[in-house]
Amino acid sequence: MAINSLDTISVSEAAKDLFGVKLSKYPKFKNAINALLKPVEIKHEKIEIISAAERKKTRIYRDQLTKLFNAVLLQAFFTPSKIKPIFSNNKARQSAADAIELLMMERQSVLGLGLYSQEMLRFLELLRGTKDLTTARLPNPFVELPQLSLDGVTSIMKELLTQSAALTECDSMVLTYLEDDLETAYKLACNVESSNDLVNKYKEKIIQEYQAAKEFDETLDFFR
Amino acid sequence: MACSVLLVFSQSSLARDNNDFVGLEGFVDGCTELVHIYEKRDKKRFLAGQTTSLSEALRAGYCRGVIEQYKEQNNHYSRGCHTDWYEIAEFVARQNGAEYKFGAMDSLLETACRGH
Repeated sequence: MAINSLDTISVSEAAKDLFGVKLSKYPKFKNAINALLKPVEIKHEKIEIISAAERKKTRIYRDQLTKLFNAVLLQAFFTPSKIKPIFSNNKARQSAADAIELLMMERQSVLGLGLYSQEMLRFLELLRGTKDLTTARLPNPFVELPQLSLDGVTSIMKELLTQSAALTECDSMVLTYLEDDLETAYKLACNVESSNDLVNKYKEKIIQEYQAAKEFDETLDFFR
Repeated sequence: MACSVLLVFSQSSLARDNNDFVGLEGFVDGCTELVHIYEKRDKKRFLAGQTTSLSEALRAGYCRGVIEQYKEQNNHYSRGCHTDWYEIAEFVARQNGAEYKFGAMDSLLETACRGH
């Protein structure tokens, strides 16, 4: 079925329109965008190009552009599979905002990557709210998108993990949790002492999740 | 907690017309969940608990209960079912529930016990 080209846009055009970036200069950014489409459910079509040998060109539906824009910003922090529920599940959305706030607070830059602090605050405010993220754009807090400036690394979280000297106990707790290492996150959480409510809330959440998962494993073993 | 389970159930494709029986389809589905949960358990600690929903756990528990009940009811016969419950669950999970007619639960379990 032929798709009306007015309804869809190529990945390159989308990158140009949304971020003013020429994809031909940033092949890794192109890969980063393509890696989002399926896991985050950004509707797109693959069109066979008749002239070229078995090539397919991806075209994104125009009504998905805001979702794509937000997904690209969130990709600076999370892997694609963790981004999907941020659009649909409020609990996941709040948890994501907590993680970003915990890791970005008191940081004007990460690895020399500049952040606009006012935009960062507005970014978090909108993320904490209830506006539909498929129609409302998050403010861009990055002087330059991490996908463009970090060599081959698309996630700030992953990059932070490698900079262990600069990390607080709380940073490590959040990062290991985001890396799905619940056991280490739990051990770190038990050591975190803070008067900050958000730190304590996140710590509690990790401890509870650990205990529930442990209990589930024990029940499964008992049933075996 | 109980409310959310009911909600998920009423919205899922497994919603039943008949109020008395989960039925064969629910049983096969539950055993599929059960095997999947144990696969996750054996893959990585805490993975099962982190990735299993309340309704999936409930459906899996139903399968486990039906198998245990069947084995208990039949263990006084000389040709009782001595197959491990997990093997039965795996066998059931491999079946397409639609191939079995309503009420064929016993024959499915009997076949599963024989292992073929």
